[in-house]
Formats: sequence, structure tokens, C-alpha cells
Amino acid sequence: MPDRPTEDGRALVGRLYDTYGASLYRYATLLLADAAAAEDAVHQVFTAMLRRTPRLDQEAHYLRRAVRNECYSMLRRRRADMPPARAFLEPAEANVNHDERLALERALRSLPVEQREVVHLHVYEGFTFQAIADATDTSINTVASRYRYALEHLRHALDPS
Amino acid sequence: MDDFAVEQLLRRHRPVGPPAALRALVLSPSRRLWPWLTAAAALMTIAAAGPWAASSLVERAAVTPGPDPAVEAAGALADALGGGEAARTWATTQVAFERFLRETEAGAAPAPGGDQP
Repeated sequence: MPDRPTEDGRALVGRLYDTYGASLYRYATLLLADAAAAEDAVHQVFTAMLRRTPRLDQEAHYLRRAVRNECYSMLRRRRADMPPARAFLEPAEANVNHDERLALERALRSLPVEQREVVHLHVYEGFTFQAIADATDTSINTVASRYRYALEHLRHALDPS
Repeated sequence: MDDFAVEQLLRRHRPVGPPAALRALVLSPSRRLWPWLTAAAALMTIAAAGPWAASSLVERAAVTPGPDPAVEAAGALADALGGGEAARTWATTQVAFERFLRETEAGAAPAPGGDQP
């Protein structure tokens, strides 16, 4: 039976969710290419903290790592033929073409998760390649390669000609 | 299409943000999936099968005589989610939405009765 959360624990988790929840959800969304699954991943991480609130010396780093681990676990358990539940991208500016969004989602979904992760951290969160290497326990050369291959893959998926 | 164009395309979009209800779910101390599934099943049952669909917590709570049935229903659902202000707020929203669905169904379809599926 899980531990009953204390009011202090709940207040801490609430503060962490308010501070980091949206960016962690977007991170999970890109990793999983699935907004509904991202809900589960984020929920799982924060619920675990409710049961046993950890001491957090580096909150952002801890939470990002926890969400990342949860997403990779979900991907390992996921059936290959399971379709995603709903759209995971939204327009970031006005007059964005609906078909363009669908095409981009399809293209992103076809990327290996490691490449999708690098795209998210670099394009959507502004991480340098060094920061990505630190966050994902890889070398900067690997990060740069993954990003290059990701763009190449997206280019071919979006414009086969 | 070159790399710059791909990056521009990526930047014209962004990953979707979390639904508003996720915060309440995150802070609910009860088991993760079942309250969510219970509420989702209740909404789907009511939407698909009409106002006579019965097996949700909200429906059972709403039948009980007493003060405002909506308040009773919201209270029952909030208790199922573990109680607390966040659960109560979420439950009140859900009950209002279900009432809207029932009223919409009642206005759009014949009155229930007999051998409904």
C-alpha cells in the first residue's frame, strides 16, 4: 500500500508541478510522440513523489531525468502496432497549415526516440549540444550526429522528392 | 528543403501543453488510473447510451435525495478521487459537464424507456 502523502509533500509536489510540469509534459510528449502517453508518464513521476517525497538538490535535473526514464520505460513496453492516442503538436504561430502539422507529426514519429529527444531539447528547449550530452549521458559528438541524422530523416520524410 | 527550412518548420510548431486536469490528478493521493478511468467511463457511457446509462458514481450519487443533487454527485466523485480541494474542483467541473451532456441528449433524442441498448 503506498504511503499516504503529507500536506508538506503535497505542497512540494504541487509547487514542482507548477514550476516544471508544462515543460516536462512537452518533453515527454516529444519523446513518446503521444500526448496521452505523456500524461501517464508525467503523472507517474509526480505521483511517485507524492508517495515518497525525495530530497531534491537539483529539482529540474532530477525531474527531467525521472520523466526521461519513465518515457523510455514506456517505449520499451509499448507494442509496435499501437497507434498514438492524439495529436502531440500545436501551432506556435498563426496561420499554420493543418496538413503541415500532420506531416510533421508523422515525420517526427518515424524518428528513433534518441533523435527525437535531441530535436526537442535543441529546438524546443534551446539546449546546446553540450547541455544535451550532459542531460542524456552521451558525448557531444553523438548528440551532434543524432541531430544531423534527425534533420536529414525529417527532410526526406517531409519532401521525398 | 534544407536543414534551415526543416528547423523553421519545427519552430512553427511546438509540443502540446498539459491538460488542465492533469494537475488535480497528479496531486490526488488515490491510485492513478482507476479514478480517471471511472470518470472517463462515466462520461462515455452517458454520451453514448443516453441519460438512462447508470453505472457511474455520479449517476448513483445524483439519485440520492437530499440537497442539490449536483453537489452530492460532485462530492461522491471528489471522495472517489481522494478528497481535497483540487479533487472537489475537478469533480464539480465533471458533474457540470455530465449534466450538460444529459441535457443535450434529452433535447436531441426521444425520451428513454423500454429496450434501450
